[in-house]
Amino acid sequence: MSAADGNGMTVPHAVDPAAPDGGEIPVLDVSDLTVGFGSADKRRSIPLQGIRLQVAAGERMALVGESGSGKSLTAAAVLGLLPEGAEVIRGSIRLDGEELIDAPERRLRELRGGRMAIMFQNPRASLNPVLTVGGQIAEVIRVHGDAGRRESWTQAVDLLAEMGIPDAGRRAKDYVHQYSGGMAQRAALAMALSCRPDLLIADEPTTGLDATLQQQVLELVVEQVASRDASLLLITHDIAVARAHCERTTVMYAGRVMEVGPTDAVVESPKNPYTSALLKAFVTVDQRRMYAISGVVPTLVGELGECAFADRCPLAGPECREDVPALRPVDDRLVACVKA
Amino acid sequence: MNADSTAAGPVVEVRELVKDYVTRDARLRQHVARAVDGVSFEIHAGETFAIVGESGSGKTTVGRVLLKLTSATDGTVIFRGDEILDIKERHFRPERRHMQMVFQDPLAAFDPQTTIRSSLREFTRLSGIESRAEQNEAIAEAVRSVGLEPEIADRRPSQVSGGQLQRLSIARSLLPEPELLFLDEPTSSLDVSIRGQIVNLLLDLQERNELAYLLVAHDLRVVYAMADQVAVMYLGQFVEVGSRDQVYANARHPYTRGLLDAAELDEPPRPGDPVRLVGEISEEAAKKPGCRLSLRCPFAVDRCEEPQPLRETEAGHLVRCWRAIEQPVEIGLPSDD
Amino acid sequence: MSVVSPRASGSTAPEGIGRVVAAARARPVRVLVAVAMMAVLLVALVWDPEWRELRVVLTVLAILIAPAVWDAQRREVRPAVAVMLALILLALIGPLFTRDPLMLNVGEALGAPGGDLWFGTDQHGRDIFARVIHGAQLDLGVGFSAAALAVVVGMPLGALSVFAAAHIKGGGLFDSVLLRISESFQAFPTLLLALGIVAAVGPSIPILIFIISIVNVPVYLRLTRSAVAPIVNADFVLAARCAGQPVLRILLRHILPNVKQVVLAQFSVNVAWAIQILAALSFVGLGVPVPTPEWGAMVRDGYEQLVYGRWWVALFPGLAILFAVLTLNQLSDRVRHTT
Repeated sequence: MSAADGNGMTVPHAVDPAAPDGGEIPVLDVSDLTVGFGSADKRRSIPLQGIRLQVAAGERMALVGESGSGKSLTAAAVLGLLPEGAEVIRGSIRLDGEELIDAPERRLRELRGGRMAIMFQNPRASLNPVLTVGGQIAEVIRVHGDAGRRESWTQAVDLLAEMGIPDAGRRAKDYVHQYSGGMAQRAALAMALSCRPDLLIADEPTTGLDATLQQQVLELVVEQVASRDASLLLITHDIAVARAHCERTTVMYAGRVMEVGPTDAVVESPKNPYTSALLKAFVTVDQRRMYAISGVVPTLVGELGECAFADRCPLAGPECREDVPALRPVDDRLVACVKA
Repeated sequence: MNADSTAAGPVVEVRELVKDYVTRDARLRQHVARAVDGVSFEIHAGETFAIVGESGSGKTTVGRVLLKLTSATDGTVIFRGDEILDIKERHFRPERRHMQMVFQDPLAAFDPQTTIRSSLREFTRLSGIESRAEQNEAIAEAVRSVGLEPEIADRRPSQVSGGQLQRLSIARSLLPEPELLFLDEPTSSLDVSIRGQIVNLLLDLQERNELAYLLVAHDLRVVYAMADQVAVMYLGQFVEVGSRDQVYANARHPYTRGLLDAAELDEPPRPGDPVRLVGEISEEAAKKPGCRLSLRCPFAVDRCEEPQPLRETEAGHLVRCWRAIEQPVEIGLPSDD
Repeated sequence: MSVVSPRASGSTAPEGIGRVVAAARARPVRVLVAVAMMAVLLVALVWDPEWRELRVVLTVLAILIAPAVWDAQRREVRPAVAVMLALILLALIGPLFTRDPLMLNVGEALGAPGGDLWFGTDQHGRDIFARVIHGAQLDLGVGFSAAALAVVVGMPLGALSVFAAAHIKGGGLFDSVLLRISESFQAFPTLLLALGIVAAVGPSIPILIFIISIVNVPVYLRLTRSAVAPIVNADFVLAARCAGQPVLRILLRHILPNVKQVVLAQFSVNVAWAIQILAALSFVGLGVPVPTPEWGAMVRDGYEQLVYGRWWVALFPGLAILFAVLTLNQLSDRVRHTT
């Protein structure tokens, strides 16, 4: 493995052994994405370092990590919505082969409403509180298609009905605060799908919801995305959610990709010690004891020159401190661990 | 610990607790929402009683009424042998040292304007420590007992991490040496990798101090790791109560089974078919005389609209569903023998 | 992710003026007590024909705000506080160095600015500069006193009414009654109410202060009410109740300090407003009795002279009002935007 190129980071296009249809261009192709906060000095924080993320056409990819792992920031970078003070230091983000970094804001706006759409944790954040739910979905349909006023309204109502909102014709005239949490998230999904995106990014879409609702909403998302031949990037902290709904999983920790592979394989035989620690924290339930990962997530000041998990890892040895482990193919997946 | 608490009786006993929230609309018409509807249970020293359920089920209200942070509409709470609901706040205040609370969001549980130390100091006064030096000593000891260095107490709440702050919140609640701790979603604002640390800390402290825990949570993994007794609550009522293993490994009520299924829990293995609940919790259903889940339950039939009592299926295992008791096979449960 | 900020680590004891600052920061309640003391002082005004208490009020105020000028953690507010402090000091010390503002000198009447008479003289030959400086003491003194009195009554009432509604039985009724009373007060046009009362009992400084503060009490009541409402059921308030703290202590230690920012910002605007009401009352002849130097009254005197091209008589007191009001508004803005 040539750890020298790209500042010792991921080889930009490490071939993912299990990526479906290796020949086709992925819908989303992020490589070596590195994002920094603040001016370029030694104390600059680097919340994302060498991120590699590919979502193939029609694929459901989970992006799993704890808070601070950089999963939401990755989504923000893809959408061209990085917060104030953050900038892309290097790397590339391609949507259907089109480079998005340094793309003009106008083009990004077009893509955001058109080829990619986002669903937030709080559904009320993506719906305008002073417009009716149906009205704003109809507006999106009108802007992105050639439907007239009446036709777009009918389409909006149909879309809401398709999302399982009962009595959609009447509910479309309601405002989002009149919707319950589960209904609001369905409406947000309708909104996101109204422009027929190729890629739906769902950022913790069910975190605020109860388990029974979470299950209903996620099943709906998966079903709707599949019926539209779109791809899904599901951002979640819950690896159990990833397993239930996504074919492939990317595990992130401290702004780095730790492991990428088919979800079942990752869950059943994790190859990165961080993935196994995370899994134990979730899946294993023990009598009067829970699995705990000691220590805390490192602060991300400067580019680390070692494995980010080394301080907390039970397997860590001196070789883990030599360099940032590159993401390399191991069996059916990519793993960033020298011990794998 | 106090000598009288080691007696055989429960630390706290709750009987037929009812809590109504009364609101008025713009035309001053009264609306009564029954958040807790006839809940009974008891907790012994060194034991964890967990209440699980979706938000809106009334589980947090039970804890708050128990701690007299909000008034009860009806029912009795016997704490350390005395009925406490009718005691005036003024007289009850010294008793507060025996029952404390750990909050869901540690950042919200500390006054942002003061240091952590001064928040902790208020709790030392409850146990009658007046001198500043002794207070600081008690604080240092409490902070060490949750695995932190005492100096951290001089920071402000916003200057420590969520996991550390939750440890400090636990340290604070233990300062008056309580017998009962109300844990209100103690891990739900924390990261997965920190969650286990907090659960283990709480379990260690319970063992060391013979604490009685009332745990309210929707994270079924945390409840499985901590609870001795589990009650499943839906719209103000317990729908299933039993030991941890009875509820997890032998769930009877469709709601319990739906919750366990939705939580993607692998262990322990459950008998019967998975249950898929539809729709969401709605306060309207709380006004029905019969089963409140019937609109969401795949097994609902006409008879479910009759009042459903909490009935025993096996020793200590109570279920509020006539079908689970009389027609288990029809609703996808293995037969009783 | 929770990052521990680097300045969190040290708990080094501050020194010198920094200690005073730290004490003032750590004990916001004491500030409230000081303001309350000022309000008590005002009662003595009624029996003091020279209104010396206004000077005490301004002195206390200067001492209260002075630490903020050195407070490195509040860089935002510092310039505005410094200007305000300079203004107060000018009002306190300035009169010692000027001529007698009441001294008549018909020979020099309506002299244009120049020479020793920087701002010129009015129709009675009085030194306008001396009158503006002396007027500062009165205008600022009355403005601050009236606002202080309103805060002292309105803020605790507002906090108590929300707190009572949330945590005490029967508190909801108290809250509604208080709200209705304050609404009926606010239904009156302020100036009209002031005019009516002054016309009935006659103008005097204490009466003016009481009137201006009474019309401001509902403002603070509602402001504090809306600021307290989101935190009255906050977990840290519940925690304080778990610690067995009495209601009054929770209010003073945990609730009021968390709303002081909003109230301080309003206080500053309110002083400016009080100065304007006083000036307006004086302008229509219902303010301070003649010949007391007061900015509004001076503008009225000068207003008649404007027609004859004698601009200085009205301009300088007018500028003084403008400057004071702008400084106070600026201060309010900065306070509101600090965290």
